[in-house]
Amino acid sequence: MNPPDPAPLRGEPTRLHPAVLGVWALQGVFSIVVIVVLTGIVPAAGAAMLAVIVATMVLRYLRFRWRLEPDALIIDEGIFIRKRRVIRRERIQTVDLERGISHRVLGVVEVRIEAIGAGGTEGKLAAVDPATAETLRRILLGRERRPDAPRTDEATEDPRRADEAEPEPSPVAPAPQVEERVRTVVPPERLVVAGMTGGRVGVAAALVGFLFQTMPEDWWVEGLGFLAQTTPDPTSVVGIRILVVLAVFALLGGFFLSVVATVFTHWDFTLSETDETLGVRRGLFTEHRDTVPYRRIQAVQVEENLVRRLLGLGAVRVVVAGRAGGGGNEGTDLLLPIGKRNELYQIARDVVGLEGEGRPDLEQMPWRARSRRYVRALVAAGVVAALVGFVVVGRFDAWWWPEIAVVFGSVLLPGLALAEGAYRGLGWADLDDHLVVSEGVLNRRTTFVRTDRLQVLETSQNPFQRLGGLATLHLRVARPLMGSSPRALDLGADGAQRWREAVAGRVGRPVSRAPGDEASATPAHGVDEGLWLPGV
Amino acid sequence: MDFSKTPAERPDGTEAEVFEAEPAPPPGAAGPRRLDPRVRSYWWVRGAIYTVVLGAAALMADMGWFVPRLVPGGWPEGVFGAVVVVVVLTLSVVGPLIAYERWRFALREEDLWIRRGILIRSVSVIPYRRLQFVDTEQGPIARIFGLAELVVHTAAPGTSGRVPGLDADEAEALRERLAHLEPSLDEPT
Repeated sequence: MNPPDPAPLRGEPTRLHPAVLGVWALQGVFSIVVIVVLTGIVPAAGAAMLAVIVATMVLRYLRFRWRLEPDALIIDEGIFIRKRRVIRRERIQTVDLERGISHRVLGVVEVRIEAIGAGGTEGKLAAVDPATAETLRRILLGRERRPDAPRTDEATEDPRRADEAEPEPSPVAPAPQVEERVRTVVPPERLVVAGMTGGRVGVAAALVGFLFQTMPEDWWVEGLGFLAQTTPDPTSVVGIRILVVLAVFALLGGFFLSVVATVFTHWDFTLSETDETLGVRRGLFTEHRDTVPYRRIQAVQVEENLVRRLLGLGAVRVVVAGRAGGGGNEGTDLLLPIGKRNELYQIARDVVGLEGEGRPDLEQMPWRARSRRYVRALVAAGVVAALVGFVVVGRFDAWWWPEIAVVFGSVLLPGLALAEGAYRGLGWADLDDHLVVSEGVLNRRTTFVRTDRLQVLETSQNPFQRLGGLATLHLRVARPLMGSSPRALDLGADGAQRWREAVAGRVGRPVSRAPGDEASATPAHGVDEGLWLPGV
Repeated sequence: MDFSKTPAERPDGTEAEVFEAEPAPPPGAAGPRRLDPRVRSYWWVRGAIYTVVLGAAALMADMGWFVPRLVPGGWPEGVFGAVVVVVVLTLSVVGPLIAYERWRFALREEDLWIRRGILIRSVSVIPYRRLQFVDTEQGPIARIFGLAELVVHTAAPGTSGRVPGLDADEAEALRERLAHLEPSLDEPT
């Protein structure tokens, strides 16, 4: 590896690595193919388009400049309209390095900077040499040092002493070289399990399996035989069977592809940590290296869907403000795609700085919350039965009552099971500096929130909750626009109100002990960080 | 339910007041306050506009004015439109009354407290130290009534809290007061 190119890090406006032209060319392979084809048909048009594309690329490269100022990254770009983008350091949430195939061929990486208050990726450096990228990341995510912080009086020298065994930080890299400890590596076979049990796919697979169970032994073989000879006629029974077989195979194919996709995107998933950051490396074809400082993490969520819960498995996600991918995006905010229960909760606890091990003991919601869910199951079954009565049967006739009762019962029973599961999935715990809330039966999510990350507390009551004397406490944190805030669903109304008031008094208080916070050395600092203060 | 930290303990040792109980104290006193009564008129005017727009659209669809008739043939002409007008009108007359009764806000020691909601009732608590910026907004109708809206933002996405129906001067004063309460300003730059 080359030594880091110091120019942009010293504040001199610098172009991207010239290899970016190759990266853009490879990324634009499709349009180039179109042009080549076009050249075969209309040579002049093809040549003209190619010229325009190449000229645009070169101009884009020539106009692009980036540099690092002490407190901001500055990017100038634009062919016709010149833009200057100033990304202030305290707004930066995460810095991700990404190497697609084209980057690997050319030996460069792409740097993506996510900042709070931005709709998408705030800053993108399409090609930077790896060493510079690494240094840049370290500087951008380094902890802001405050000369007036109390600990600096005597401690400035001392904490560094410990690091002195390591090589002296180079003058162009003011951030200390910190050791990255590998925490977990997910082996490929576990990723296969992750793919097979993940979300919708797992549910779909279970459904398919169920369908096969209920059908006669070899009906689909028969269907396949017909398929070889005839085009399916949807009006005949055989035709319907063939269509069902096709659908099942499409589902299985989709299932297989999604397992493969999971394995590829999470290949060699490695979770590592330093004193101040968490890092995730993953991906077979496109390699991602995402880094998020502890102090930018708003909440941690352990996700255990029904299938995984039965196997004692689950996943861990982090909520980071300003992450372009948002909550639901596969991969971007995953700390661990699959792991054993103890491991998941240990990671979650460590990330938020909560002592102990395993899933915390959660308080249950009041009985009325359970009644609410049972009533809901009853109503749902009633509605389905009524619909069957009206739509399928067409009239309410005494003759049909047994059938309708069967429909009612067969919807009610699973409904009640789900209701009971949903009730048991609910829980809350107030661990002083940390709040834990849990919800969900098909996908149980246990969320850990630090009180010093809370922005707004809100209790709300819909008409049904009001009937049952229940209320929801929303714990609003800085998070991406997409996705939802942690909440404690269906607390008792009085309790919700008292809990809200109790927590409100703690919102501003620094958390005593948490990773990346260096104990109580930075009282107010750790609290309001992660906030973008316009005009400051 | 058993809460480890109840009643709310504030760092200064005072007990946090929980302003859920009716009735509201007289204006000017500490504690939860109602909105300016003029807000009802403001909401009524807004409702009248909605009624006119929605009613016109419904009548158009019903009577087949300018557009093909969209209401099933079984309904006599005019009935659907009339139902829509009556429902919207009722909502926009009654809604402001209920909303006005429900709305309370208070500037407490450490946070802004807002209670609102007709169907989904909610109480928001927005700690002052979390305020990012504070706006006042005044639309054309509100200006006629001399009202303004206070809008507060935190780092949580979207608007964290709004108090409509404040006297315009008072909204300005509140905005200034909240803006200068912001303790995050002693953050290093």
